[in-house]
Amino acid sequence: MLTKNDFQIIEQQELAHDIYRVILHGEFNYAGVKPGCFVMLKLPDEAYQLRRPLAIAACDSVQKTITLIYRIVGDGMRLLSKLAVGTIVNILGPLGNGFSLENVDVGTEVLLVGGGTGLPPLMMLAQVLKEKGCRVSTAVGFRTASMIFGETEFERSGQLLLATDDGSRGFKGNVGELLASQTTVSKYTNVYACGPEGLLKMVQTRFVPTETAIYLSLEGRMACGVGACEACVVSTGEGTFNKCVCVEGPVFNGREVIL
Amino acid sequence: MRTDERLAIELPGLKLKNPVMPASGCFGFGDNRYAEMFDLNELGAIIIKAATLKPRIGNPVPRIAETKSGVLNAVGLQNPGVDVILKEKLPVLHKKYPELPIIANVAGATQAEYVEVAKRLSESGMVSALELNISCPNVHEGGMLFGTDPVIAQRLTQAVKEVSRVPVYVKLSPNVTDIVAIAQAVAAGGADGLSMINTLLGMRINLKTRSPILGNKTGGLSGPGIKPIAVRMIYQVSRAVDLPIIAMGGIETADDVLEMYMAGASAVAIGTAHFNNPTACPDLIRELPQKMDELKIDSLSELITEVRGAQ
Repeated sequence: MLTKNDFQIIEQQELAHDIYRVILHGEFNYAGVKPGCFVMLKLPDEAYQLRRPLAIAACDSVQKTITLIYRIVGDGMRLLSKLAVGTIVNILGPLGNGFSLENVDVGTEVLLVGGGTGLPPLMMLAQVLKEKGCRVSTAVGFRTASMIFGETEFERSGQLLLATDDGSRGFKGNVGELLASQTTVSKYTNVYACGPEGLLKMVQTRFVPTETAIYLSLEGRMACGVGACEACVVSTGEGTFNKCVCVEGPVFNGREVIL
Repeated sequence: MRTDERLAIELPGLKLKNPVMPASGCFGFGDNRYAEMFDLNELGAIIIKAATLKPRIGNPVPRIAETKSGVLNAVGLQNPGVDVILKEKLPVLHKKYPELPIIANVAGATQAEYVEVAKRLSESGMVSALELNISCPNVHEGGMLFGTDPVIAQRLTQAVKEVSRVPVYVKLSPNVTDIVAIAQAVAAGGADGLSMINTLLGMRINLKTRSPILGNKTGGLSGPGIKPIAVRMIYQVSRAVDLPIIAMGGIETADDVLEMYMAGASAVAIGTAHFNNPTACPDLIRELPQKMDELKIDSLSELITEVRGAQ
């Protein structure tokens, strides 16, 4: 069930340069949350006409909390970062289809590929996959060392490969180059990716010729989050109609979606 | 929900238990997840997404950009085409909510296309009225072109009226020098009502890429920032043309609804407000009676008579 409920900010912390984590306490359909699902957060200022779509990075149905991690990309997110503990914000959710957890079992080799603000949904996914007994490898890229976050979470779930564009930490280069540099290549059952378009295209190029199942979580500029405004569309090829990222995604089969 | 008789309105083709309806393009065909959050039977009516003769893929993304107190959109009339709408979308909506009056929004690139779509939708038996979209700013053929020239607007209205079996409301564009002239022209063409205003043509630029944010470059501005323009235009048109007006343009609160009535409106459509508040329509329906008590308004139909009768 979809609700718009008030949540209270119980923690707000800067994790890295311009990257914040906010933990919110409130009621909604926790049972309906899968890794990859998102919420639409209403900013407490009437000048903002659009809610912000934010992926759920962690979710605790017992404590009734959700964790969102976001980067300051504009005035709206800056406003969110300045909201103090105790502030009430309205949350529409849970939204989106989430990552497929089909074909995952004890010992299944899975690869998570992420960049920048694409990491939050992968953080929840990594934890769930580890609980299922999968062998989780994660490859993540950042612009520079001061922007790194999520290391502890990913290391807890398995192997972490880290790249920075400027080489200030880990491999120097992007995630695609990092993966290409690996001498031993595992045979992954599933690859899950979230991040900039270039990263998702790289994952397609690399894994479409293989037997690995590809799940890509897309970002889309959206107004409603529920399939009403049809702003956040993506093509899945000739003979098909546009799909809405918000309701038919944000996770798509990497072999179908055209970026 | 209790039906408050003070909210009931009768318009050509429409017997509404209240005057509140989602605006076209902001609520799909009632087939989105907003419908999980309240019973669509509570609505006065619904204006469904624009229909064109052939499926339209719409504009490239990004299709949406925010601005202070407003939203720019350039979706570009994405829709599966009138055949699919008649076969798949309308029957589902009509069957699920048999009492909900449906207004179908009609768009096209040519007059012949408008006429064909209007004819098919009006013959379906599932729609109570048509809303003729001569004001979409986001398509390169047709759309707003039909709504900015009085002669073309009148001719199109007349042609659609000749084939339509249900009343025709013409949706006007604010992107004109004299909206009264267009309103008079479509009235002369036989329109049964007006709906106004569509979005205002606007643009935003991304400072990093130094190019327009929207894939279509320009888009239509909606939201509370445009409300004073809507109020002004409804005020002007209602004094010049004797047709009922469905008002839209930044309505968020019961105060906004009553302001539109005092400008000359007979009903209201809600668009952008849904994005922050998915239950904007039922909330308004609940808030209206209380606001009317405060302002000593006995009923909306009396308010219309008072405002329009005094003109």
